[in-house]
Amino acid sequence: MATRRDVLKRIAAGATTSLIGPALLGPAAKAQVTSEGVWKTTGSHWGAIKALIKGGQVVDVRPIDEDPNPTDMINGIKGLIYSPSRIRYPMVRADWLDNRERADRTTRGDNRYIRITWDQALDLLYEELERIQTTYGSSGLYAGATGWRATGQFHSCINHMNRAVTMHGPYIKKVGDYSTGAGQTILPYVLGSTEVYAQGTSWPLILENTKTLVFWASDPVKNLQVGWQCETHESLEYFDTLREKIAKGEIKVISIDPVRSKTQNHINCEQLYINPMTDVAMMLAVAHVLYTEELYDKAFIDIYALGFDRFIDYVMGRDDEGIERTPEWAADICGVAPDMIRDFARLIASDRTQFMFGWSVQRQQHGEQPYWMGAVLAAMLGQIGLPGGGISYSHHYSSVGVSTSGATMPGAFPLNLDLGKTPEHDANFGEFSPVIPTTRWIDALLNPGAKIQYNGNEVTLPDLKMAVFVGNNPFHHHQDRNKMRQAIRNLETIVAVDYTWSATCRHADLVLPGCTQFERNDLDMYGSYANSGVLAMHRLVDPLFQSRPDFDIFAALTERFGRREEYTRGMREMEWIETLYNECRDANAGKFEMPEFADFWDEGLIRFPRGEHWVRHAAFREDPEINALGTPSGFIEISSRTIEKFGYDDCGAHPKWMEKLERSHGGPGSEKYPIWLQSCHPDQRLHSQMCDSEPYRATYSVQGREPIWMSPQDAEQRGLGDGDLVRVFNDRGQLLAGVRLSDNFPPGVARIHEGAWYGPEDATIGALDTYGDPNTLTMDIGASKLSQATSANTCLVQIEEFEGDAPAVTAFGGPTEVVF
Amino acid sequence: MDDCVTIHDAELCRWFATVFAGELTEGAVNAYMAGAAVPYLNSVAEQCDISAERETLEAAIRDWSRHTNATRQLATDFAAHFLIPGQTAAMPYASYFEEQTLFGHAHDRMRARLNNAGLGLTASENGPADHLAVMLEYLAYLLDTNRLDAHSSGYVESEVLPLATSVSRRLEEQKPSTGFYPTVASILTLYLQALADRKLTARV
Repeated sequence: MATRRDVLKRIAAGATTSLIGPALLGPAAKAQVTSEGVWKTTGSHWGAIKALIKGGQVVDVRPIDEDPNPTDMINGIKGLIYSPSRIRYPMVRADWLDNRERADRTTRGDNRYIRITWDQALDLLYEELERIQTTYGSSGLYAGATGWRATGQFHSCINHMNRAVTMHGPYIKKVGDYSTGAGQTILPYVLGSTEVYAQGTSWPLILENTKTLVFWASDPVKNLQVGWQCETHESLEYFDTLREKIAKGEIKVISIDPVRSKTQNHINCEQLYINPMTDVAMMLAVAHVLYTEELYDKAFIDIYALGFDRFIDYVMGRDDEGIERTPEWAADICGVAPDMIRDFARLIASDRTQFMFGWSVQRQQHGEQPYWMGAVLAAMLGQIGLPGGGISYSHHYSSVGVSTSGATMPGAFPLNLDLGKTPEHDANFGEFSPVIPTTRWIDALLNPGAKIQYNGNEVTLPDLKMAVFVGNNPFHHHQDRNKMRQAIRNLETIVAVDYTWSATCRHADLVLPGCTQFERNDLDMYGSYANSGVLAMHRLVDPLFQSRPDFDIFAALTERFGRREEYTRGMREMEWIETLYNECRDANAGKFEMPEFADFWDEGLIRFPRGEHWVRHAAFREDPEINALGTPSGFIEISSRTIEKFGYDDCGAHPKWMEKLERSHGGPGSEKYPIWLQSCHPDQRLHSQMCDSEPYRATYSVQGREPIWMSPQDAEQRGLGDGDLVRVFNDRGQLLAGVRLSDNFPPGVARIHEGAWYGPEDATIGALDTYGDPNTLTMDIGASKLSQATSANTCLVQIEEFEGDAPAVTAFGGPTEVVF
Repeated sequence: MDDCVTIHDAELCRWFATVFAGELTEGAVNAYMAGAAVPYLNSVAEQCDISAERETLEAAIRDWSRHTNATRQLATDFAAHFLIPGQTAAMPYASYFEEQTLFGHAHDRMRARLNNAGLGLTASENGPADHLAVMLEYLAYLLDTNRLDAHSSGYVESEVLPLATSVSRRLEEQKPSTGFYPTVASILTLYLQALADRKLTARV
């Protein structure tokens, strides 16, 4: 028992008082809160929303009245804002703080962190940028965002990071992306543009003119739920019309896909089943039929295309390989009966046919080939540039096909330095290439200095020492998680800025809490391609905990090397938003009426009338010389001399069938691992965004794990039932998932949606992923030397019942602890 | 006994609140090592049996002197326990345990209590009101103002004690480098149970 004397002595020494901290409560300011709350409007990739705010909290989220087809994912937004996975404070890995580049990197992902102040965090970031630039030069720094972000023209994290970090010093840049890497590389050689991010023929013209619509590995009803800018969901109404026209027999719609897609089920169209990754074999056989039965448009080929003869020699077996690509030849590979291939070829040649390709099919080894071959088939049909004919690679994306208003959209916070400004550090890449294919950065970490081929160039992979990830999650979008975990041990420093403890943050040394887009003001385009309007994004709530907008974070960084004023141009958030709006308003003056900024901000959304219907490639068709394509020749290149000159063994002069390293349904590796695992875009997330929304994830997870969709036949063979916990594995990794059985899936095909968060059981390489990230299992090889794009969908696995005590899911919330 | 210091319940609650509100400063670490917690533990011990927990805690505090940087060790423990959520974390928010969310119904209830009392959070950050430390400080306010029975019937039993118990259980599952936080959480749980029993008895 302490005596009063003892205690008084301690008080005198300041001891006891030290045990009571500052008061946590004080007199409250009069809150101006009505019991009804207030509705605020903002936007997101999931659409424009209105949120009910009460007492400084979001209590309800609904789509705006103008949204004709709101996505169910809006129900996940509240859980995203208030997720327990939120990063609340700047955190630093304790060992890294003490030892920096000499810290133990094997425990990344299973770290002990400490909380630091923002000033400490930004000082550390600046010190590390300075150390890397002075020690290793520009080639030591890997930065830049890959993939998606949060919406908003001003707060776009990509722009803020790039402007601020580049202001300090140059870094290794990336080219291409994970979504469409193969497609966007091959199509400029074939059709003159990337096509994948291009506006497509207006839906009303398709509905009016198309007789046969072919969805080739495309699931727009699933994927149109989200958009790059604020999604309008305007294109989804056309799928209702499509369903009605199918029912009336006014149009034939065929989905070529191993799986009965959400789109197919929605519009009730036909499915043409095809074995996974064998599309090119079937396409070649279709070309064979069109050619041998003289169903192709010779005149179109003569006027608009080059290189047909060489291609058709290959199809007819008049080349070195000497294999005639007949329907019988293809049937053994693709699983489509010869007569069905012939019937299909005759059907598409019989009247106006529109191809619509999805993106998953090019995320495989040799992913350039199906896209190229699709263009060849469309050219053979001779309908490119006609309303309701030809080919599209984008109608499943961001309401492509809704006519563009023609209005100018608001600009963004500058991505780069202002004119005439230079970085603090000069560019110094040494012997390394300053730009690498975006999916090859892990190879760079494992083999710095190695030389690879990319799109006609030799790339020397850099010796990366520091990575800065802002608003993106490579521990979701990159392939082969175990290879990746090994590789990042070669990074001395990893910095992550995000609002949530993604796997990327859990593997980082310095973690800075950005706020969500719902905690800042902004403005956005309403509709990514239709330019349907301009949306005011009202801050719903103040940034939670100590999170900050990227603008504030990077402005504070630039302050450390004396360039804050240049970075911000002396403007704050609302001044920037008003400036961007007024520039847009000025650009539209006399063409589109826009109110004063204050009125716009009050109204929340201003709309522009829809523009004229439009046909992709129509100008080229009208005059191929004046409106030449962007290909080397200006014409559609069925064969490419340019690509041929590169001399690649995996992407040659014309589209070809090439066997994959692994392929199901009798292909290589299928005896050991018989199930094809597809990892397409999720139905209830945007990539990995919203996976941390606890209540929403609970609506689809199985025993707390990501679902694996599979056929009843495959399940029965393994003694599995719906809801069972399974181990999915191959030589690259293993994961836990929960079984969902569906007749939509044929035998030998399973699906785990990409974006499922990675949560290994521990820090060891090869550890069981406890939640179900499919990239634990996927292959990390370039699609070819041409694109070096992701090959995620070239992936075979085995599935078995999980026995024993299931480990807790570690994917959400943060790193688990290790004992020192 | 006249020469003994009695730490009143309100001050005890403020001590507990301080423990869970943030990392220990170097000054606080030194104070603990100098025995500053003794009167608090004595006062708790007068209300419930914490002999085993006290022994563990005092051993843990003694052990700090063996660490090269005890403040750092405690800060990493604090982060692992309370700042970085996860399956084994003990995020000190009632909504987290009740609904696996932040700013849930428990926050609403707590905010309503604070509003009714004319109180608000002093922190500049936008954090929830159902943090264990905030709830303990509010309890201190109720005790200070003799409002625990009249205005906050059941607050201890239905709000603070369940959260403290949940936090304590989670902490027991962890393997921190020091045993400080799990042990204080155990003591807090015992104290709150005793306080609840005492108030219940008084009501009866």
